[in-house]
Amino acid sequence: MVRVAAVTNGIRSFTTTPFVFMDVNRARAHTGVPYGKATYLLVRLSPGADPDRVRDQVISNIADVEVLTTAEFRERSRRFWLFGTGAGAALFAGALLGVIVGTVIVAQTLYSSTKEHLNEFATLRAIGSSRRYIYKVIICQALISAVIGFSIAALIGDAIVKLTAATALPIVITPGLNVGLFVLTVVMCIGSAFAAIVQVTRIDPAIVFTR
Amino acid sequence: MIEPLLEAVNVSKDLGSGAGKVAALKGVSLALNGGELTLLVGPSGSGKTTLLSILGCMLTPTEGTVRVCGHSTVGAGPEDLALLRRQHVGFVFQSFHLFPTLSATDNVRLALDVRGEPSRAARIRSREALAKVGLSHKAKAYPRELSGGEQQRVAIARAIVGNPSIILADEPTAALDGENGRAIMQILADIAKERGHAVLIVTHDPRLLPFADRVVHIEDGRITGEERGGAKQQ
Repeated sequence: MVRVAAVTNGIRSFTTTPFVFMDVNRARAHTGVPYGKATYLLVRLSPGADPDRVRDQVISNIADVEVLTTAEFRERSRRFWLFGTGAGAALFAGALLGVIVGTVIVAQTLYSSTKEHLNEFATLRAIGSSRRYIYKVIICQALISAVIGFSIAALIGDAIVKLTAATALPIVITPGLNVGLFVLTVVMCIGSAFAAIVQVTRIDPAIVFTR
Repeated sequence: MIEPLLEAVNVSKDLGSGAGKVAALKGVSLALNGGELTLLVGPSGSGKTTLLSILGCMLTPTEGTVRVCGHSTVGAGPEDLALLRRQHVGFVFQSFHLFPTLSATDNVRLALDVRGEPSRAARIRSREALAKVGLSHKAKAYPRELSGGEQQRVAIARAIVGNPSIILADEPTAALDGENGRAIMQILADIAKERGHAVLIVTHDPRLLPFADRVVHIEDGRITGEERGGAKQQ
């Protein structure tokens, strides 16, 4: 007979499987794990204790165990999910697809915009602008796309963070991740400007006399 | 003897290649002096625009030499030619080529922006240039809000704002009615006289002849004649 004393909120595994908290003997009885065996044991340290020293002591006193600090356990879990399962590959594939599709869309947009405004670019060349000046114009357009695109994505991301905060699998976007994504967006957009730049490089300024 | 601001010596230009190759210019020599308004007159296909493109450092000749304010274009690459245009040549085009999303001031300022002139000084000079063509009151107007004549005046302001020594204009009155055409020509004539610029206008409009100090005739890629005389001011 089991009595549910309390229901926790937000404590779930990566696959959203819930945890059940009970004393170790009852857990063994329910799971069939023999006495003296355990998968993991959580060691709570006294305030001021040195985790590395405690770890070394545990390793020297108990045979056939692996002792991990919180940071090491976190890193191992992360590595397992990212590189040891299909979930990580799916995540990376999704992210890569996002980068490729984003780059292609921005490249197409800049290319079309440049093609529509070839006359203006030819006029700029005709009145003496250097190639560098025109590259600056196109890269500025790419940066504007990056800022607008990132701002919209950040707003959507923020909404998703808020919506999932109380769910079984909350999504967290840290400030560092935001900065990294912004840098990636800028790099993508500048890379996307390449096709437009190649097109402008081929402009003959003399076309202004015939258009 | 005063050195011409723009000089083409024995310039030839072949366009196309193989069986489609056409000799657009055949040994053309022409010198433009400061303070003169020169008309380049000829029928369609005579080589006017090709000559204008070469004089304006947009094309390089197949043979012959061009000197712009003492600088030869022989062996110059696209960036060297762009630098010569930036420093010495202002252009006025038949279809104006203004930027539709920029105000009149910003269209003029663009010519200074490509020269790297700081924004505030450029804005002041752009307004001054617009004042010279009588468009102070339209400084904030966009091209769609301007008449054809006004748009061409903005284009002239853009051509002169960088104070180039040479102004090259391709059929600047072709898209305008008679009155606006005369006004534009008067502005260009004044620019030649008051500022000492060499102004070359390509046209086949005989109504422009009274404004010219000199009329050069071109036909079939060759200079066929030249007339000199005092410009009749209107």
